[in-house]
Amino acid sequence: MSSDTIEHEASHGHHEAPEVVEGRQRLGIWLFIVGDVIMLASFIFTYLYLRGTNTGNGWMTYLQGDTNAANYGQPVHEKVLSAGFNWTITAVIVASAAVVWFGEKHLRAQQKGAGSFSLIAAVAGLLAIVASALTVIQLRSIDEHMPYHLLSQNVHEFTYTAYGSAEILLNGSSLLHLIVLAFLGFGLAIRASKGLVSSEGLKWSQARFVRFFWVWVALGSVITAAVTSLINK
Amino acid sequence: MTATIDLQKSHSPATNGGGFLRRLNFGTGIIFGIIGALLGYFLPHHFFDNQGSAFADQCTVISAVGWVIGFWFGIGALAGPFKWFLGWDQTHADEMYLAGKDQGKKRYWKYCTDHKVVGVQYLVLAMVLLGAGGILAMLIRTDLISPGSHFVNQQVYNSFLSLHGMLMIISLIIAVAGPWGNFVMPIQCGARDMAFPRLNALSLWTVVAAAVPLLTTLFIGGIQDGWTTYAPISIQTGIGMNTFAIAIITFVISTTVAGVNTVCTIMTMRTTGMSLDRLPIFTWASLIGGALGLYAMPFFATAMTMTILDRSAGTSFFSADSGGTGWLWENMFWLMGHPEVYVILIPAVGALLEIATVFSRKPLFSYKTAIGGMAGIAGLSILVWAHHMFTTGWAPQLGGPFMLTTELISIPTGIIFLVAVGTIWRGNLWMKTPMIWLMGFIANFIIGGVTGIYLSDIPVDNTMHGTMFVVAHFHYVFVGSVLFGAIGAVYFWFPKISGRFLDEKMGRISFWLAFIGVQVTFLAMFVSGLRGMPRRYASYQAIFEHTNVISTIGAYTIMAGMLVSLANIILSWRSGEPSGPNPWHSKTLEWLVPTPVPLENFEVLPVIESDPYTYGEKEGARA
Ligand SMILES: [Cu+2]
Repeated sequence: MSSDTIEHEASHGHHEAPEVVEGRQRLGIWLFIVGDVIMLASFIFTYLYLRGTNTGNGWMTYLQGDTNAANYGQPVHEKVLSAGFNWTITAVIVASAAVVWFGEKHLRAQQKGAGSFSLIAAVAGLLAIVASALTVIQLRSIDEHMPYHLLSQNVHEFTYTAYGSAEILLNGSSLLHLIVLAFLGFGLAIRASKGLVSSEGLKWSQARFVRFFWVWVALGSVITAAVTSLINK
Repeated sequence: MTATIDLQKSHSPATNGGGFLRRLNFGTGIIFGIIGALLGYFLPHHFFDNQGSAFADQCTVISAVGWVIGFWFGIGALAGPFKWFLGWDQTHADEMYLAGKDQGKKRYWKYCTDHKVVGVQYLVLAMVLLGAGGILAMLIRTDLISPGSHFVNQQVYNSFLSLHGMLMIISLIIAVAGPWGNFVMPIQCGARDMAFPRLNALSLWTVVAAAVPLLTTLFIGGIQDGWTTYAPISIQTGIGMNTFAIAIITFVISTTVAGVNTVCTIMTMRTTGMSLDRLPIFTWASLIGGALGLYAMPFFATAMTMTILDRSAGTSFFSADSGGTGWLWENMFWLMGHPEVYVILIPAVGALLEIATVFSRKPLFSYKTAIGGMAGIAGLSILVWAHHMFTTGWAPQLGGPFMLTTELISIPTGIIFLVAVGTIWRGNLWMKTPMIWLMGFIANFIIGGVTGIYLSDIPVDNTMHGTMFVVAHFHYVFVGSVLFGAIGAVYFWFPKISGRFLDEKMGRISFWLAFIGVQVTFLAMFVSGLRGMPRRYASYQAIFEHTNVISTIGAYTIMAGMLVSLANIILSWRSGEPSGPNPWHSKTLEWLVPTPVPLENFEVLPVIESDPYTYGEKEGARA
């Protein structure tokens, strides 16, 4: 016990000011966001590149695959994913980001403690889960309502068109991000309930970092929805 | 107040998982990794009767992901996020434990956050991966010793060739930035550790997590498509491609985490007075290399994700019969691939410039131009990627612009040469082994660089593309330049990590074997290429025999040189001549702290009043 105390105090002099640590973590978050921006840029590049190249007119066109039908091998045009549903998901994500933003403001306005921040963060996490569920429905709609390119005899052989492929990539990435957001939202809620996130000192800074990332994910979702609903056919 | 709470928590490890976490190490990582891999492979077999033709692909992908997650769990990498989520914050005692306090050699097998431990771990890991890639190189050259050799069959040859390429790329990415970007760079900044010590451990152990599925490809049929894994061959090749792709994605996680950490450390952890214009040149190189990696590597993860989806989820990013295109792969790959060359090169250049100034006893010639040169290389390198696609038919109208940007890169590269030569020029040269490797670098990099300018020229590339000339060119860059830089850096900084010198005589023998070996191997390979020998072929026509025999003999010579240095490292680590804290009389901060370096590097943080390259100047001549 006593040696622990001594060690703790001896190295206490090495501890830096909270503002310094906060600034460093803030830069770290921004750099991770930069990496994520490049990821999204590469996805959007993929989407637009495949659309622009439209190899063999196959962006959205597949060949009829039912070997018994008279129109076997005829080109069929795939339907576009519902833009309305797409924007609905985006709206939920934007709303969750707004909740986080509001939550951070509320937190910093407190004289003491965390106010209702724990509840607000949990609501944001819940919205991220709702958006995840909607994204899963969107991914399944690519699976269920879009006919595959089915020229093979084997029923398990399926191929998405370039459009379907790019949508899977974008939605899949969005789903992963939403799971991370839910983790962060509920994490903040638990931490706030334990007093680890509060208005005291710089204990609100984690809420701020989470808000940076959350707003970026919402922005990314808006960009994706805009690109895929304006440029598709 | 908070201190009391911390202390109480540290005495009840059961409440914060400390008891379990303290038992984790490399061994438990492997055990949980294997459990994860087995679950990933067999659970789908158990739950799905409806097994399509992609089922084997799906199972290997899930299995490889299972390995990575299991390994992360078993080594303790997931503890941080998990404890954050539950609000079990680390106590000071936890932090000190993670930093390896009082754990002796055991800490080298653990998820240790001390940047110096991570540096040594990276050094050993880089040597292991270089060794594996080197053995494959020897097998490849042995197969090529005669025109119709059947030393290995052609599928095996292809997988040796492909894996050799990727192993060497990965090991060279970490060969300088790993050991010295971790061990030396924070001390050069005057910092007590990296900005995010736990992320530092994560980046190291994630390379280990990636290396296992990468090596596994060899045992499940290998890959047939070269290190560039062009589509659609990457979609058609065997299941080894799945573990290969997961390995790459995992490695990208590591480089991204390491890049964020490096940039953050340099931007926010410098000590008082360490302004950016006083920063040691190696730290500048780490900053530029780290930032460039942060930009480039995500493209690789995206490209590999699409490969996995095409193989196992029925998408068609790269298959032209359903709307995809192989050019998408090529663009994505080279958007990563060319900057990555400089992610590899720039830290090596930074280390060599440190060597140049210390052993010439002169200030670094034109310090700011050197920084400008490295930054110029990094900036231009993101605008040149399509020079790898001149012969593929993609956007012929862009050929001219890409030729121009590529040739422009020779200007900042030339600046680096001038800085190195200008530093050495009329210096008081102290020809210790690190300096000798620098001389070798200068000679080899001239050849590697100039042949690169040839190849950037479209008419020349139309003839030389896909020949052994290209292979010889980039081996002059990677082996003759980067590897020489990496080894020079080991000879330079080894006394700091071990307190002992590497043996001078063995160092010189190693150098001459490697230097002569490089000339013999790759000059002959240039000739093979000029005569028209295609790269990647397992057998060749009789007219190429002479030059191939010469290349094989040269390759064995390089290997002999590498083995001498390896033996030198192992022997000197145990019983080398003691070096003291600053054997080279250097002025950068890493040499001014004691050896072995204490846990938090500095008792009192230093205050910096000038740049560290005041050799040959009177004390206080520059304030
Ligand atoms: Cu290139």
